[in-house]
Amino acid sequence: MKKASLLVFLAALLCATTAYAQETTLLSFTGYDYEDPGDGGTYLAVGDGYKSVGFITSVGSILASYIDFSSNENTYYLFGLTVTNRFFDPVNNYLSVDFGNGGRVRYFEDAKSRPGYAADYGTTPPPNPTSPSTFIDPNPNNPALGGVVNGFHLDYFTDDHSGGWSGAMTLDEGYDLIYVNPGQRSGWLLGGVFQTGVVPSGYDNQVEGNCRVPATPTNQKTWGAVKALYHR
Amino acid sequence: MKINFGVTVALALATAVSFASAGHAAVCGTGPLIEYDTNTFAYAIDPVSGLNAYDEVNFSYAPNSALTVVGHVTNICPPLPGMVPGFEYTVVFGNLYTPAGGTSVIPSGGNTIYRTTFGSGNFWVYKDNGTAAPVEATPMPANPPNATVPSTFTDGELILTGTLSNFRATVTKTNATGQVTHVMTATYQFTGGTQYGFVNGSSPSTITSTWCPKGPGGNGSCPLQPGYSAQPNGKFDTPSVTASLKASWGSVKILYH
Repeated sequence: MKKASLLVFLAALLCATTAYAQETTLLSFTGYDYEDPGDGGTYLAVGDGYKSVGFITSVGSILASYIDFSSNENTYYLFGLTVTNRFFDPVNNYLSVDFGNGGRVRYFEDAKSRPGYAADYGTTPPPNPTSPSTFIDPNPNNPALGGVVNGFHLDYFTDDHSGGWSGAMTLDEGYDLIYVNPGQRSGWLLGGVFQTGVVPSGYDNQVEGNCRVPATPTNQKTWGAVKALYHR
Repeated sequence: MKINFGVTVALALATAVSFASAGHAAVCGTGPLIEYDTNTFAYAIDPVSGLNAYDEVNFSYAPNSALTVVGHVTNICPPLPGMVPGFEYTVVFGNLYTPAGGTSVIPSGGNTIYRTTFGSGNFWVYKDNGTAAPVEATPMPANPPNATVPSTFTDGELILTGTLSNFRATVTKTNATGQVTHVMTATYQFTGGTQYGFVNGSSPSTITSTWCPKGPGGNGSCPLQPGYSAQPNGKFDTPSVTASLKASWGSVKILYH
């Protein structure tokens, strides 16, 4: 009984002292989005596809030892999202879009030393000769890391072109998946906001965001306070 | 003879090239001038009582409340000289106030829009190798303003400052699921600081950011320490018209010899 109590006590202590030590950001990214299929006509009509390609700009401590920004080009590809519900409020210039489950995001690393394979958005609406192909090389079926995206939702304000999206991601593929503790593979929030600025021809918005788990605040406790929990 | 030799064209060219240049794009190439990460936090207080003026249940700020944002800068791009290793760079937004009506709560179909227009204010960017400012993992000390917030974000050398306008935070909630998305936008203009010379004469540009509102988490919100209202993550865009540097004809010609 004492052993069991001690284990519970130690587990509680561990939780109390490491809750804020957990990494909360997997990575950050910047890129551009586009409709495929369904480009042209009503923006994000039911049945249209939504995709995005771009660059990983930073990673958190989980991946920091395994991602090389100096030698490699680190890119992402968000795909497999289909509009299931679209609502536009003309009074508030507000567009709300829901997507079906089963979207996917993949992260790729490609040696910069490979000539002719630098990621290139291209100059025509994607898919084009260089996008997404140069963002998903060297092997589109062998990402560094990837996951399924569910509950994807997009909001867009047409008056100032602001907005963003979010979805729930579960990591489930890639050769870097082994570096993510199985207990940390679900619960990621994939979020992005639309940016102003120059957009390459054929794309809709500049997107910047991150993949993270919001940290849960905890109260700092003294040894005495923790021990007091078990003095009953 | 002196002329104004604009670097605008060169920067525009650099931006265009960056679309095809992966390495550059991964750092500065797609438009950011200054970036701040998720170790950035907003809080609002009632100027009279000094108490927290944010209602996290309704994603709403009380009328006439004062907003402050403190954060860590993670990237500074040309034409600014970049970040010096060993120094901490912080950014602060302030002098921002909610209107008399507070946050507008707007029903829209099956969604609710929570929009707060803070109007005009100021920003400051500091470079410091003294007292470290707290981050999310520290964690952030509760109930700002306190002993370290904002003071550890406002120490050191003031490298840039300027004005903010059209500062607006919007949270949208899908009523059926409770899921939220969020965005903050503002217009900024540099007016001073020790590095002002690198951007003097630049046009107004935009700040765009996430604005993860305090909430239970799991629905797109962020569970923050008491007293904080949002966790932004975003950037200052590079102005479309950037600074001009004075140069003699001779020095210009030397560039091409």
